[in-house]
Amino acid sequence: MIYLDNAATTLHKPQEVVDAVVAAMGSLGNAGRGASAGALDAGRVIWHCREAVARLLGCPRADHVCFSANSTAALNAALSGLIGPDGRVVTTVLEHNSVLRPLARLADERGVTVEYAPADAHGFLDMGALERLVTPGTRAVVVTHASNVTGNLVDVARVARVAHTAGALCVVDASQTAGAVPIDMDAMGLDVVCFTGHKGLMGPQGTGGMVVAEGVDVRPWAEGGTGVHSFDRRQPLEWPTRMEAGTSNAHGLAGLAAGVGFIEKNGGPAAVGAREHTLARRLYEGVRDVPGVTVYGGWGTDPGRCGNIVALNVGELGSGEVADALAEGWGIACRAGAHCAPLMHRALGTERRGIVRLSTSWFTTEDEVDAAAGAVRAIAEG
Amino acid sequence: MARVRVPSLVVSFPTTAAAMACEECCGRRGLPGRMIPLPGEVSAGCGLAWKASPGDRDALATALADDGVPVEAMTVVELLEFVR
Repeated sequence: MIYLDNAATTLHKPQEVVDAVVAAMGSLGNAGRGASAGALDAGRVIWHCREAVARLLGCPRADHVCFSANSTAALNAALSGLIGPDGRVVTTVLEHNSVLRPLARLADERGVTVEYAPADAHGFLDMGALERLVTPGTRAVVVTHASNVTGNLVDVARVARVAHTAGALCVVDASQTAGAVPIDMDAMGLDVVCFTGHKGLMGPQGTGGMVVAEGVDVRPWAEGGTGVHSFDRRQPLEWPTRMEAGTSNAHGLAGLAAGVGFIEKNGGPAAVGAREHTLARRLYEGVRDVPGVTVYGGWGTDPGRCGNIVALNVGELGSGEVADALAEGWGIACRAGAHCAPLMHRALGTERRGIVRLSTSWFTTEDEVDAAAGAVRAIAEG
Repeated sequence: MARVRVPSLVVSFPTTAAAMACEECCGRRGLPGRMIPLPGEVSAGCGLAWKASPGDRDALATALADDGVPVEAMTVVELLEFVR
């Protein structure tokens, strides 16, 4: 199989990640539940992972790294915990449903007003429009670091400046970029960064979380067992306990820490992302001149702001047909359809047919992207 | 095996994460002590605490403050020890 669905999950993991999870499965107790050797080892593993994620994402406080099951859980918790009744939020049409649906819920249940900044013809965020929408009284600007459909990057440091000028918070969905694009949330002025562990960070599924800048008050989303202050009636408000009710996924976090270690060992997110970008660009160059192939996103206009995704369609074929042909004919795994990003597809005019998304990882090879380009050409010529 | 009660310094924390940060801090700096279940004499409920000798109090307080490790309390209590 040629695996080119890394924007969905990185199927190929570093061996260190696998080894760390297996070792953890055989040794860890429940972190914070007593002082047995296994419980302490679990606590150490989780603390080590907090330090690794804080270091990677530029957060000075490891205890402000709060883990959850995935980016969606983190975004739900962050948005619910930050935005009160009748608040005003600005987001973008680039967003995944993990942002759009929690905001729609807040609109329905708390009377929150949600404004959507548009994209240009190539799928880049219209920064001018966003700046006009972010007015005093806006509680938060919620923005993805990169579209999960096109891979187009967003200048989140600039978004943060716009947000702060209006007195708003900047909440970033880094699901597509953590581990593959440098993030220094302290230097960039990001208030909350939500991430998933199983994509660019190369960790196990079931890991993710939010990193919260000092001074930002996110109210607890879930309440429950914490291993501390058991007689308190409500969830303690200390970090990170306030956002972590229940047993943590120590086994998964052992793997996530190993994934971060692998990225650091290989030069950090800039180096890893550059490799993925170079491979994606090679794929783009292999398909861009194929008659009938339409490539979406910024590769033709601003490739420096593109990530690891090549989004395309072939002739009048449905994206599912093309994905099925790639799988059946060439053993290529990719992702067709709407990618849980309805507004991005509406902006690109691909609501009906969807898009074929091919995405690279550190483990992708040049031969694999060349084979994929050849397969797309064959389908187009067929 | 004999049971004796020994005055001990107990450092308590607001979170498990803070307890782990304490352990990492003390290990890195070579400060003595170990993690124990939070004694009931210090606080009801559950949690972790760092146990050390009362004479280590100042060194621990300085180190934890320098590293920004949140501490709930430092208390001297008589804790059970088993002597062979």
